[in-house]
Amino acid sequence: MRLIGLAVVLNSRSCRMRFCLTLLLAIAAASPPIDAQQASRIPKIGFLGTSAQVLAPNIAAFRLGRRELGYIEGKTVLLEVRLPEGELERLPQLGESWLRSSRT
Amino acid sequence: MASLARPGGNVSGLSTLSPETSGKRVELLRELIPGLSRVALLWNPDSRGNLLDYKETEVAARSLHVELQSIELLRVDDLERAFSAATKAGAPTLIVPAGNPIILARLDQVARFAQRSRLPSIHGARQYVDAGGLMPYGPNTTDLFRRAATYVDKILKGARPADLPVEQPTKFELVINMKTAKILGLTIPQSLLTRADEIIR
Repeated sequence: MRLIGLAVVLNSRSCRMRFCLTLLLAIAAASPPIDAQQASRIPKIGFLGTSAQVLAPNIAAFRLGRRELGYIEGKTVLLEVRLPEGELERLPQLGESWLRSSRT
Repeated sequence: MASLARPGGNVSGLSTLSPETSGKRVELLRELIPGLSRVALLWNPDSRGNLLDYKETEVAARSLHVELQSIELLRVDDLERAFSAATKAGAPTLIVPAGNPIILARLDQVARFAQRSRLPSIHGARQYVDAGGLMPYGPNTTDLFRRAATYVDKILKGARPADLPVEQPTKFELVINMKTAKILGLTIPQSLLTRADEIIR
């Protein structure tokens, strides 16, 4: 299975956003080659960001972009959105738990 | 990341950094308020993006003979304190660059502060207008997120992020919230209305 992390990286020491970047690295590195058994699994895209208020139009735009490229949500690709809704310090934790749940 | 052209690691994507828009924000406020002499900038020195914003704003302010008042905001808990500092500084306008995560999650509070202080304000993210802010100007982020899908497509097809150049914003948008203008008792000059990509009535 392929896992892709899409993160809104905010470069701020105060919010430990560097962790996000590290997380992205981990996600991309965790993608093993697709074998026969895994081939039927749908690629998951994790979306980490700040809040729905800020990102709702952007998430919609991202979905539109995927549709334009021929992807169908739920069939050829899955988008999993994780937003800490103002509690930015929860971002690393959200990313980690998404990563764990996606690998199982 | 080694460079924008060849990131090298496992991360690539689209950047929203556009410090050139910072200077533009000072120009837009001066167009809104002819003879503007002071502007407050609410920013986070911990954010590298904001640091660029600060420098560009400073350059623009100097060349337009506008005094820049720096209001720093490092922690969420300091938001009210930063508002008080802005009030005390007394600048008649407020600029809030977008790259500050603390602010991004609290656009409502910033917009409310600006309204109750009758401060014409400008923010880097379009969403500011939905929160009741007056006049966002910055990169068109929906365009960037739409383009982000092409990165996912390329990676799913086997490309390595290391080889995908980071792209930068190409579209910028100015939005004017006429409801907020009315609350602030502002008349928006025709030149700005003509230039706006969207006007919220």
